[in-house]
Amino acid sequence: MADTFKLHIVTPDKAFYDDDVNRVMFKSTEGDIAVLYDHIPLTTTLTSGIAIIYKDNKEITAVLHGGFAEIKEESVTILSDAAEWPSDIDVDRAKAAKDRAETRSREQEEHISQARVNASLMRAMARVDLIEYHKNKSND
Amino acid sequence: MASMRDIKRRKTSVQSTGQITKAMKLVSTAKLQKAKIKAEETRPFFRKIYATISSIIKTSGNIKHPLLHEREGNRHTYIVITSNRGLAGGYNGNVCKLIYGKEKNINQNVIIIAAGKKGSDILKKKGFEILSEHHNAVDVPTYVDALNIGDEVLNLYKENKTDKVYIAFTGFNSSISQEAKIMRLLPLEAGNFEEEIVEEPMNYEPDAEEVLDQIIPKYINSIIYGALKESVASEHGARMTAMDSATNNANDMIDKLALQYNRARQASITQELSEIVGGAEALK
Repeated sequence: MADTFKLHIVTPDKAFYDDDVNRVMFKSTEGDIAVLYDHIPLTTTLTSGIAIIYKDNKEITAVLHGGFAEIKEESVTILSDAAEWPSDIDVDRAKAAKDRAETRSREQEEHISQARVNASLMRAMARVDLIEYHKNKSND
Repeated sequence: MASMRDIKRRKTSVQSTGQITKAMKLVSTAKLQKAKIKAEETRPFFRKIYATISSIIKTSGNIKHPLLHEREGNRHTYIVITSNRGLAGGYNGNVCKLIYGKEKNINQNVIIIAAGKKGSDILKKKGFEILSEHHNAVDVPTYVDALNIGDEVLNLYKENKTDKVYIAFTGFNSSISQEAKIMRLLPLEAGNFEEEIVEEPMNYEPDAEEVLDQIIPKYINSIIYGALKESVASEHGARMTAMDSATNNANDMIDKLALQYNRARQASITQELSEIVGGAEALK
């Protein structure tokens, strides 16, 4: 049994996840990052992306949208604006949102701020990524 | 003395008012339970953000950040959270009183961002300028509502259109006790964060300032979100108390009217009797 640490994922609405885990991977603004037990203390900001939690040789996946993570030796706290389990994601809606965001960012409509378009594109992409990830898994 | 029919009519009307207030009280009680749980759910997020900001400010010493820097001017912005509906006792009035307690002279320098129709109406009547209204936010507060309000004040502040941002809301102490509060949002008061104890050194990626840049808006949003949720819980609490005392008053009035009605009835019977007796006497 590998060393475990406490992982808390908190969103403004609820405590999303709270358990002992072996490893967690998520997407920071600087790139993907994986955390094991006894990591150096680090606070970093998150962007929209998949988070993969490893616990007892099992994988748990979720999408996190923005926020930041505080990593300590024995615990990791992720504060995210929003978090979703794969079961919360509507595949068709996510794909439609992605297409919409892509057209918007190409057309550069003036009344919509670019930052917002980018953020919604990132969110939609993260959702689609997660769905694809699960598809590839089941094909293996 | 009022006639029997008048008293009866009044009694019926008070009775139906009493029924309405009683029903409203029950509805508020049910809504309060839900709102209370929701208000508590926002606390862990807020606490963690608070702790993180504290430790960044503490560990990185003299950090320079525009949102921490005090400005000289006295242009104030207020986010005023009230309800869309009345019949909640002093709930809306108390919040608005805080504003005109602070702003004796109404002028161009005061900007109001209103969440809740009642507060916006009261302040409009007093002559304040309402910049924007977010009335949907107080029905069922979502994080997006808080985000929109937060973005708006951050932009105002960044574009140098205001020097200080406050939020006026009703804090939820318990189901029967709510307190109207006013709190400063911007610039952040670094002094507030000093009590926190930092136990270990922390690294920041990309760097402390960048992280602070990201976290402060989230902190603001989470305060607004918490304030919205607490205010909604308080609104239901205040309405519950107000409707409870209204129902009690209605019952008292019904008792009084019942007494008056019975007296009037007695009086009319006595009068009829004496008329009959008088009539019989006259026939003798």
